[in-house]
Order: sequence, then C-alpha cells, then structure tokens
Amino acid sequence: MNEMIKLSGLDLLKKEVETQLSDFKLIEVVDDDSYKGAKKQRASLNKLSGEVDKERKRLAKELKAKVDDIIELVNLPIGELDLRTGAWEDELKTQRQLDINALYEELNIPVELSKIQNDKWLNQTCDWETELKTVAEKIERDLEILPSISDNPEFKELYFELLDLAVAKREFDRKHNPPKRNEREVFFNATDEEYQLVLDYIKSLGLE
Amino acid sequence: MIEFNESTHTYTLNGKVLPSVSTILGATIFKDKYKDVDPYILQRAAQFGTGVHKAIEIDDYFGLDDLQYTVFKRYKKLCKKHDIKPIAHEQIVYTQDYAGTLDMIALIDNVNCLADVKTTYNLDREYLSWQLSLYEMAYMKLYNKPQFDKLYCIWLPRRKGAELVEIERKLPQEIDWLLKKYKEIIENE
Repeated sequence: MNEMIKLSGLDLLKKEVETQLSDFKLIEVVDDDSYKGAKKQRASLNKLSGEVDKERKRLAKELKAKVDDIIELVNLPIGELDLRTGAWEDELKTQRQLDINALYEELNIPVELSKIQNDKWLNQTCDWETELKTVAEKIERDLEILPSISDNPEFKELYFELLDLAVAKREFDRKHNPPKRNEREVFFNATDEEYQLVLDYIKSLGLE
Repeated sequence: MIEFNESTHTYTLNGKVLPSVSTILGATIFKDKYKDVDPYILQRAAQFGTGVHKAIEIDDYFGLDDLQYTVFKRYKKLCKKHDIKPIAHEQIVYTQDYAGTLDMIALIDNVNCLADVKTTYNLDREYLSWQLSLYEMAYMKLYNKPQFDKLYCIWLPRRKGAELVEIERKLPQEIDWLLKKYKEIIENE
C-alpha cells in the first residue's frame, strides 16, 4: 500500500506563494520609518505563513478523517474476530475451570479451591495440572508434619487460613506468647519512651 | 573430616557418603523439578550459573562471557543498593545426615544473612526455602551458632534485573520430616 495517497495542488500553492513573495522587496532598516516598514513586512509574511499552515492543518484534518474511515473498515472485522475468539477463549476457560474442579475433587484437597487457585491457571499456556498437584502435595505434607508442631486446634485453623506451617507457627506464637517486656520495663511499667521522659525530667531537676 | 569429590559431586564424612541437599530434595519433594527440561539446556544453564557463582566468589569478572559479565555487573549494583557485604563463600556444611555447599554468608543491610545465588528464569521459593533451611540447620549444628537473621536469594535472571528476595525459613519439624522421608525412600530402594 506504499504511496497510494498522493497530494495534489501543492505545486500550485507553492507557485502562488512564490508569486506573492516576488512582489516583496525587503526593506533596508536605516531609520524609524524603514524600521516600521520592515515590521509591517514581517507581519504580512507572518500572515502568509499562517495561511499556508492553516491550509496544512485543514488538509491534515481532512486526511485523518478519511483515513480513519478506511481504518474503521478494517476495525469492524477485527472487532468481530475478537468477539468470536473471545467467546471461544471464554469457552476454553470454562472447560479448563471444569477440568480444574474435577482434578481438585479427585485429589481430595481439604482446602477450598478458591483459596489455592491461581488466576493464571486459566491461561492456555499455564501448566495448571502440575501446579495444582504441587499445591495438593504441599498441603498433604504440611498436614502430616503439623501434629509434630502443635496439637492445638487453633494452630490447625491458622494453618488452613495461611497455608504455610512456618507462617502459621509465627502467627500462633505471636498470639499465645506475646513478646515479654524486659525487667526495666516491668519494674517501671513503662515503655522505652516513657522511661526516657522520666530520666530527662530527673536530669532537668539537676539530680543524678 | 568432610571431603568433597568435585567430579562425582559426593560428600564423604569419615568414610561415610552423605547425601547432598539437592539429592535429598530431588528424591523427595522435588522429584519432577527438571523432568521436562532438555538436558542440554540444563547443562548450559548450569555452566552459565557456575561462571557467575565463581565471579561472585572471587569478586572478579575474569573469564566471564558478555552475558555473564552483564549479570555480574547487576549483582555488584545490587550489592551497593542493599549494602551486601559477603563474609564467606561456597562453604561446605554438614550434619551426620547430609551435606551441602552454601553460596554465601553475608551482612545484608547490617544483619547476618545466609544467601543463595540463582540465575534461573523463574524463582522457586519453595525449593529455596528448603535448601536454605537445610544449609542453615547444618551450619548451626556444625558451629553451634544461632539462626541467621534472614535467609535470602540473590536472584540474577539472565535476561534482566537483579533482586534480593527474602525466603521463608522451614521449621525444624519440617526438616526432621524431610530427612525421615528421605531415609524411608533410601531404605525402600
């Protein structure tokens, strides 16, 4: 499609401009009057340049509108194809989701599918089967190890929420064994900040 | 006394062959990790990684090809960004049950860390978590030291970027389970 669009009339425009310019004799600036004359000439040339540019803009606008119409002709079937392939992709995704559900049921995973399914599993290139089996194996392994960490049902609940033994243990410990305050904090029953304030106050009294 | 045979990649402790960390993981949880990868590609990737590891160890880019050099430069930049100060490289650690070679002990942002360098396209955090936890456990037992403050992966993918990724530590109970599982597999072979 190279160079199918040609501009015509540009030569005429050029000639017209050249004709107008040929009548121009550039003024020599030597005094106030000639200075004013030169300024006037500059204004006339600005006007001429503006008119040419205005024509360019008009042409560009007209060209864009016409070319947009042509592109729209192509966009119509593109949109239609997108709709058709999109519908097919949706069907594939629905089918894939059914396959995922089936394998999930088969693997008998004791965690809701929504908690473990990754969005990318619905992408055509994703090896969801391996990933789902890996998740199932990890959960099975974790549940085998879990009783050796804690037999507290709350820990198990936390695991099912977080699906990682180490993270669940940290959270469980945080809840059940809050960090101990050191001796000074216990003695004064004050935080570091409060303790510092007391020290500063004592110092301000001139006491050691 | 631990001995390492580089050609057979075998660790021997007082005459007894110890399984490596990668052998244990490959026999238990990560059996199929590289099953679909072309062996030639695996070998190329290993060569690439070995070159980068070596450069990091000696802190010099001598002998690197162009891509390895680019990756090494990204590593240096990452070191600056996170104030990574290596303390030890390629150190063999072992227990009575297994052995391995950790990549790096380093001060990272002023805390004591254990780090592993990976040049893979994808990062397998689960594998790294086991790998680093096993190294850490062996290191702690061997030198009677406390846990590292943090475990990290220095991720240097070939194509772009460099990232410092914090890795979650496995619990001692998980490691015990893994070692027991490995023993069962070996006994049943």
